[in-house]
Amino acid sequence: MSGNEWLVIGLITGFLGLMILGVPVAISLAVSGFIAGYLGFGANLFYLMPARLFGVVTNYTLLAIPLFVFMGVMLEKSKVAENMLETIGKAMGGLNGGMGLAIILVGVLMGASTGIVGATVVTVGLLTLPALMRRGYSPSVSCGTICASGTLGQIIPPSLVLILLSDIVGESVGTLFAAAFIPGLILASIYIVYLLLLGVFKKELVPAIPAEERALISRKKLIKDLFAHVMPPLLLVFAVLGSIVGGVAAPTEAASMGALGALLIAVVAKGFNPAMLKATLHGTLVISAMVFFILLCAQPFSLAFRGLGGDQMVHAMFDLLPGGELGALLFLMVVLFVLGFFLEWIEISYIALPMFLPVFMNYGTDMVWLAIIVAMNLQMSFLTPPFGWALFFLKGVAPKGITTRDIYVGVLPFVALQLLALVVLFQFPALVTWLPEAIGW
Amino acid sequence: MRTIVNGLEWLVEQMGGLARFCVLALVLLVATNVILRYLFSIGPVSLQELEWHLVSPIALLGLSYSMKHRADVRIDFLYERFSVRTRASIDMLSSLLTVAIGGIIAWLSIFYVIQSYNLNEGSPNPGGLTLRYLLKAFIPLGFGLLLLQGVADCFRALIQFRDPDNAMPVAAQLTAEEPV
Repeated sequence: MSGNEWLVIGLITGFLGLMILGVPVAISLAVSGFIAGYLGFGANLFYLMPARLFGVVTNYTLLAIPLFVFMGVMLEKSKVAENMLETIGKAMGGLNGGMGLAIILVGVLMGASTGIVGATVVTVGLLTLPALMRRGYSPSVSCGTICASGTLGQIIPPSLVLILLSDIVGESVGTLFAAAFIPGLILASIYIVYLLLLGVFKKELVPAIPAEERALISRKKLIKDLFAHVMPPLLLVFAVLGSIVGGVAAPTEAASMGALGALLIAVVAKGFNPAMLKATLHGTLVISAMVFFILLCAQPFSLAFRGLGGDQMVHAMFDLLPGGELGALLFLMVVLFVLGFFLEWIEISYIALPMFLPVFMNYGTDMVWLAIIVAMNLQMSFLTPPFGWALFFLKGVAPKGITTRDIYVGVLPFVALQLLALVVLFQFPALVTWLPEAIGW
Repeated sequence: MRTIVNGLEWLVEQMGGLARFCVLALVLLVATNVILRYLFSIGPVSLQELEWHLVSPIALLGLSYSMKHRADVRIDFLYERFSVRTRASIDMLSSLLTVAIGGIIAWLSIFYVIQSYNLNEGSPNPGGLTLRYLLKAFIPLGFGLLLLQGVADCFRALIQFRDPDNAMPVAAQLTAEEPV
């Protein structure tokens, strides 16, 4: 191997080593990039760096990120999401597994508005886990449902993952949102069917709210609550998504309307006060900055990686694989799945994926389909024990008495369901590609 | 040493406050632009450009702010299993590397800003915003603040290493329940 190839290997292992020790991921990226690049080329390589950094912070697509995050954080901090969950839970309480369904539905909506796994799992976990335990739900089923619905945000548009992926694969955000629509709904429906089946065959695991307790809430009050707490956020998410997918508004414009809408809903729901606004701005700022931190620090890394010929090394590696395009796809799926254990989606989509992308462009793989498959795969990875992110987040907020084992056992059926959904998309790519084509993206 | 940490973090917090304000301004500005365009069909170039101009302070001033509040991404799988002293050593390593990265990028980008100033660079669009060097100056500013936050964390790690029982806690996340 040539000197540069050793440097590429040093670059990647250096990054992984620092990161695993607990050094901030962005700093690990920048440090390994600067050192390997400097050893290979000297300081000249980095003269173009500031222009690239400027390119990141002035990218119009990425402008949508703080706006969507604001919308989601606002719904969360103003307790609109909490009220929504409670109301749907009551409305479906008479059904075995009804509370679980409520979690899936709120997971879809919350995920749809923020697209951040951690935020959704933590919020839904804090809000519902104690209530589910009180109602006699099995701990493992509860934990599995919460983790699974939290990770739904990866695939249900407008997720941040899809915005970043659109930038990387060179397709419009609207195309990817439209493409993710049917797969997201399929996955949510599979979850719902699973919970309904549990309600029929194993109803002791997912008991309904007792009739006496339900009798305390009048039907009229329930309908009123549905209109007050569930309709507004539901309409908001549909309006934002609809206007993007339908091509009425650019994603950034729709995101701003979503953010403004969330603000208005909070005001109407009397959840608005200065402290809440400050906390929302804080949450939006740190989440957006966290994304940008990694995007910025990935620049020296990718400069060094490209400069040292890392692209060709990846090509050479793929050439050794049997099975042509299919072999390469399966390999990519396995690699991303494993990477998902210790990297967040930002690093995977912004650092790992671009390394492999040229190979698939050569094969002529449909980039839209590939992006959706990747998003789906990452989501599965985040849910898989023992390293899935969602599991750590839930463990962090779980009440005493919930063991790690409960969480692991609980998510396994959902991992299997995800795998099923992934296989379906592999077999029927039209599920992904039909909608964007039908509306002419 | 504690005074220095508090002083540096006060500065980071103030700049973070500015960035928080920019988040609110961004939401209101983009929404206003959309309403102006769809209802009244007016879209001044300067207001359109201001949209993405606001991302720079959010992204760049947010770097040190998110690090101060420990909201940046870290893998603590091994870290949380280490002893207090080992953690302090890793924190020390992280903070020194942060100082290095903040310093290098701020240094590289200062010339980039000066070049823009000398060229009197502005928007290529008619009616666009001028004084682009001010916008570009957020790059050295943001990474300079990151350097300062690195210095603060370096002292914090030192304090923790010397006297683990008397360590300085890191800034917490804001919650809605907390009084302003």
